[in-house]
Amino acid sequence: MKNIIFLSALLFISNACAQERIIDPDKIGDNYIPKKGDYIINNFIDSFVGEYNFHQNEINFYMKLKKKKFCDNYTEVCYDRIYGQIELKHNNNTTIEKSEMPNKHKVESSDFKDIIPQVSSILIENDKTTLNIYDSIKQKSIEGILIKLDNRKYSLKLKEKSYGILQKNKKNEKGFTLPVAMILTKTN
Amino acid sequence: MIIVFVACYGSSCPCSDGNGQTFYVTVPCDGGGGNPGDGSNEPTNPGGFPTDPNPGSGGSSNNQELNPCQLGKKLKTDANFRAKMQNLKNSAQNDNIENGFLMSPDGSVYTYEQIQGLPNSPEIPLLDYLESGENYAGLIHAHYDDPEILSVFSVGDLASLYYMYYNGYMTTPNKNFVMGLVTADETTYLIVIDDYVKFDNFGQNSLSDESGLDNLQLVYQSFPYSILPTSSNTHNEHSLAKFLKHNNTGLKLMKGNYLNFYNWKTVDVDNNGNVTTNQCP
Repeated sequence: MKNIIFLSALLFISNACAQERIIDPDKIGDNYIPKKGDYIINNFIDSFVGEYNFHQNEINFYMKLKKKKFCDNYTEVCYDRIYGQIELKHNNNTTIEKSEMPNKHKVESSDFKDIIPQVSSILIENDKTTLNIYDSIKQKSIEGILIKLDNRKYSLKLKEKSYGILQKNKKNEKGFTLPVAMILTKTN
Repeated sequence: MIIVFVACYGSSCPCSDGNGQTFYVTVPCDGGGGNPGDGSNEPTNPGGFPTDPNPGSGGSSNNQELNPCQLGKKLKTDANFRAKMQNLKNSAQNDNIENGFLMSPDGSVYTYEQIQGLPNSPEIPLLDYLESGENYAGLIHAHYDDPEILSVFSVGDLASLYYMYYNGYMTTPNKNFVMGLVTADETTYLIVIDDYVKFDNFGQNSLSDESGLDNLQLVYQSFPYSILPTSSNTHNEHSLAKFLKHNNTGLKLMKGNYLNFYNWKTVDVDNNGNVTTNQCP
């Protein structure tokens, strides 16, 4: 009986280990086909993880970016992804509050069915990452391009997000609550 | 043996599915139009706007379900459709505004309603144009010349397809609905629904809300697909075909002739990830 339990446990562990395949884009060929259980890592993500500040006149902006493992429930393929929080203050009055984000490292698409993360990445490249940033005052997502500069400085430029031919309507309010362009200092 | 119902252009015949398997085609005749052609006939003036060697309405009744190749054949013999695609091509090359047409069924042909976005905004407010209770047979649009606009369909384009499907704006059968694209990058494509169940599941997971679209944008743009405005036309085309297959979207990509929109080929992906563009049989 003990042997059966031991063998079952061993089988379970070996299956669990075999289910995840770590995929490094730099080491795998062009004909790679994503499969259930794959975890596609991103070799550029770490340089964007951290806390950022911007201060100018009466404006204080804070952003915290974390690395998480995002898993799509439909394909069951996982990706390295940035999630984050932002806070905006005018004259020390909070305009945009930091929102909660899941504490766990592994997040799934189902975790965000009813909530929109305040910050999430949609593309991470060598010295640039494209972020979705949710403007809770305007109640819309905007696109942020975060570019690495010298001396812990990063440029963040915001622009309207395009929905292709599914633009919700002609009356979509333009503009953002956040400054359109900022030079951020990475503090942590 | 597979029995496939196709549009009326002859009697039953043994055919090949391209993989060596023989199947038979059963042809219900309803007195439709002429021979839509077999895909091998070249247009009489291939450099310009073709004169159809096999003119006709396409020969299908409105509710006959067509597979992607049959739909492609029907569209290549539709002079009005090709004229609208040419119109969009001109717009893609000369305008800074997204133009498109909603296609409504009108007997064996289509009527077209123009839809349009705002200058320097790669969007069309589709929801403003969709009329409650109306069923559309297609949606075609242009991507103008802009360094941030794709040479293939965007995630937002796929979302609009699902929106029309989910909200009952498509004519039935939904597989006959056509989504078309012409770009300033000299590409033209169709996307059609090839598998309802897969498309429904994919849409519910990835195309039905903003979080799903954002997640899909990540997958679209990241390794191994990297479908980006900065990627080459061929890369985006192959990656989109792979993306559609590997993500069980139930959608099929077809590539057209940019010169005259006369010929539509399927963009196929084999089990090893190799992409080929194939003439319809």
